[in-house]
Amino acid sequence: MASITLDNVSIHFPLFHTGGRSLRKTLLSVTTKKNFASDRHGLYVRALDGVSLQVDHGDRVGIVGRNGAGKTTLLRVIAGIYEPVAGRVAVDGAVNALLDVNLGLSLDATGYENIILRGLYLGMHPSEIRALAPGIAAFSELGEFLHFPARTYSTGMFLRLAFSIVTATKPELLLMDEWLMAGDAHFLAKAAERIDGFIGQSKILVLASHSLEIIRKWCNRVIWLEAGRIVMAGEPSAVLDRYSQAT
Amino acid sequence: MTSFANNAAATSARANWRRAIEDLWDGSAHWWVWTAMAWQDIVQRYRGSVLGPFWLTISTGFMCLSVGLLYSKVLNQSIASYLPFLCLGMALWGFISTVANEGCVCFLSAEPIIRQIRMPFTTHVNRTVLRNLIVLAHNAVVYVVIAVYFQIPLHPRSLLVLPGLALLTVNGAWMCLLLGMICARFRDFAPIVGTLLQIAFLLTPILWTPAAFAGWNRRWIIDLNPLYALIEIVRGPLLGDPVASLHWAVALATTAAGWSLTLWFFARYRARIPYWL
Repeated sequence: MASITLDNVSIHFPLFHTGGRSLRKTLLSVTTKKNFASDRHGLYVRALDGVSLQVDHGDRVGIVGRNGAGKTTLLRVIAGIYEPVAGRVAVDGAVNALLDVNLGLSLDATGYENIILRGLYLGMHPSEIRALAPGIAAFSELGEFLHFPARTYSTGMFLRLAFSIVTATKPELLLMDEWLMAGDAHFLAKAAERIDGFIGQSKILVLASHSLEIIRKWCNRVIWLEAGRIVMAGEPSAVLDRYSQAT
Repeated sequence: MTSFANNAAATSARANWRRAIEDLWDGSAHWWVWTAMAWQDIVQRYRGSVLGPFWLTISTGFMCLSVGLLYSKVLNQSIASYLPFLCLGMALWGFISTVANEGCVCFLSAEPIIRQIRMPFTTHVNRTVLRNLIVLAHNAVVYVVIAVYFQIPLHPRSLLVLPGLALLTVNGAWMCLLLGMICARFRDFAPIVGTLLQIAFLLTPILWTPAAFAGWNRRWIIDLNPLYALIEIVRGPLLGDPVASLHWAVALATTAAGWSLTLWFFARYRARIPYWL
């Protein structure tokens, strides 16, 4: 059974390469956000600040909030990329995440090589990912382009490849950032169909998006983040109404 | 589908040690990940090139031949003994210095992957070390040609090259891991490593043979050099020289000290790596 538990999780990013104290003062005085702080180690950003969350199987969680609210950081914590400076994270089940359009893949490798590599990055055995590769290739509709280096791809093509790979590996938890909406109408319809199938299998979906329409369509719970803290969490209609009024 | 587990908490030193050991274990157990990555690196580097990685073999061959012909005169040594010595030294030094230099960026260059997918950090280390072992194998071809030409005999003790290579590789791994962490945090460190390596190259018996210092009462300065020991435990057996037990002792001590320091560092700072990138 897939689940996500976050218990009072905080993520602080140290600012090492920002120069001397003058910049620090500037940042502290100029910024209107409240998530800059400093301690004896120097200046840091409170990307997440005491976030607690329980997500159970079958939940489709939407994350809303302004730029810099901590949406992507929260996805990265669930994906296990950032281990918290305070608090506890427990994620049960295989995770696959679409966080960046480039997917951490190699621009010099061909589309097909990237399919294999991404599978390996997830810890799959070469035979497992090779078995999945034809299905991924077909879903991406990239055809001959799969034999070309990924740097020749348009954003939309990269997106199709990335989405095809990530969803074909049958994760129990799927994490997606908002850029997913960059595809063309034809592919979006196909993607929506696949996501619907995914939801039908009672798996966990966590989606960060600025599109309230998408959140309303796919999510049964919404979390509203502001400056690294949860402002409100609950039913989509209630949270989204308040969120729309506030922004 | 499998994926690397995520159960993280800001907790005790003991848990940090356990996770560091798990990282080492998981990273090595999923060997197919970094072997594929290392191979992909090589394929990519030489994509579109006719000779591919054999350019390495050719450039190493020319380098050894030209330097060997001149320096054997300078050092007043027979070409038959100097050229094989030089060739092995250069190839092994190439491995050590490239692992150290590329180790400095092993996490920095993997940033897009690290910020995207959770995987053991040692995956990136193993990838870097293996990639350079593949390069070393291409350079070894030059030595094979030289060994055949000068008819260097194989002794039973030449088999000691295997534990020698294993020890060299294990040392390359800690250097890569340690430097990768330090350079991710302190961006000024990589150029320092590069400078130190250039100095170390001239202080280590690669171009010159230690025989010239036979009577020197400060010879320990040469003999206690860990890089000399690591090169000699591979070079000595291949040249048919008996390797002094001192070299094995220094190499083993370097392995123990290097890995102890690296493990302590890794246990303490492993979870910070993504924050530093």
